Amino acid sequence: VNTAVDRVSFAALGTTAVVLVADAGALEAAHGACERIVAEVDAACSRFRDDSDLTRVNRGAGDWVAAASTLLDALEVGIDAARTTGGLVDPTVGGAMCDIGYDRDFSEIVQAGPAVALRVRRVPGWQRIELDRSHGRIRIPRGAALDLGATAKAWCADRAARAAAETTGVGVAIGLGGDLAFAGTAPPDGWRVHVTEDHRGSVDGPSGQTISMRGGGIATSGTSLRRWNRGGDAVHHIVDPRRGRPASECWRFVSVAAPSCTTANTASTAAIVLGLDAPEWLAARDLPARLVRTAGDVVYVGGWPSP
Amino acid sequence: MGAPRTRKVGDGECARSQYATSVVAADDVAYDNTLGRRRRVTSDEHCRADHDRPRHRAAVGLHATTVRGRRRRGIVSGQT
Repeated sequence: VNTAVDRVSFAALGTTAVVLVADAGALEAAHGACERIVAEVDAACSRFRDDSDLTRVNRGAGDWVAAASTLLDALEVGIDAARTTGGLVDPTVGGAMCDIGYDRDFSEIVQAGPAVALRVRRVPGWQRIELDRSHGRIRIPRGAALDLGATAKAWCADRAARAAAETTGVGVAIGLGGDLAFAGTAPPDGWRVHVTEDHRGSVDGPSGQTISMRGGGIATSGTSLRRWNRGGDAVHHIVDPRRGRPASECWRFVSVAAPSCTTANTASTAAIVLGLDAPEWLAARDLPARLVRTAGDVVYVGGWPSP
Repeated sequence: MGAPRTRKVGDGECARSQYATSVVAADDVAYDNTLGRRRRVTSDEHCRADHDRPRHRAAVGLHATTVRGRRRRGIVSGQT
């Protein structure tokens, strides 16, 4: 654990979690609240843990499988994201993810492997998920697999920020692998957010842009970091549910600000899938966004501040 | 009016801020980000579905300025 006056970071969800507080005296309590939420979401929603609720649902595809409330809530969020984007993000991309080689934690993926036979076919579809809240159970079609990568981490950030702010009574910013959520009263000049290609970058880095946020959330999705090779062809991790294979590469990365990190990450993922139509789609939903083309030029929409 | 629909409602959110296609009606059951559970949407929130853009931007809290000047501490948003 690395600590500074008002910040702590720790490994979580296969990436790094960062907790910032507006009052340094609240750091320990905020850290504890965040860790509890992260552990709960990881145990329920991880596709790479053999003991997670989500793994049990995937393993039992075709049958009803009991699930605790955390997975029920997370899946409901994922289904809502699918519905509101018209299926541009879809929690049933798990099988397609495995097909392209993303079947284990990213750090364990073999970076160069043999070619894979990619079939262009629509994923099973969120409409075929059955969620029975009254009996605490889930059923997905036989052969289908869930992946909540487009929503669960961001939803976790929202919940962790809210829990930490309620516990401490001070403003809190939570970062989970670059997905940011803010809760409570922000510092007088807002939270300083550096938007750049890699969440491991420096807040003072030369590339990217620094903006200020007071609440809500911000998320960045892209095709340039989580990628690997199969048969000499580059593959990345954002699957287009309409085709069941990696989305066309129009944008290197897209950052979206929204009332919640969940909404932001849903929209940034949908933007990658949409490609050229993304700016119009984001603007129509009043979502401030910064889109970086593969060539490096930047497009701003929805009121995102120009540099 | 049929079975209640479910959607997320955020703190200070107006319904349009989610997606234009999912505007809620009063008395829908919704997932409340702030409470961490589902609750019934009020008529006030229904009214706020007819929001204007400036109000939405205020809810987002994104300042219309880029931060410049000396190095400041902060947090990074980037790809995982």
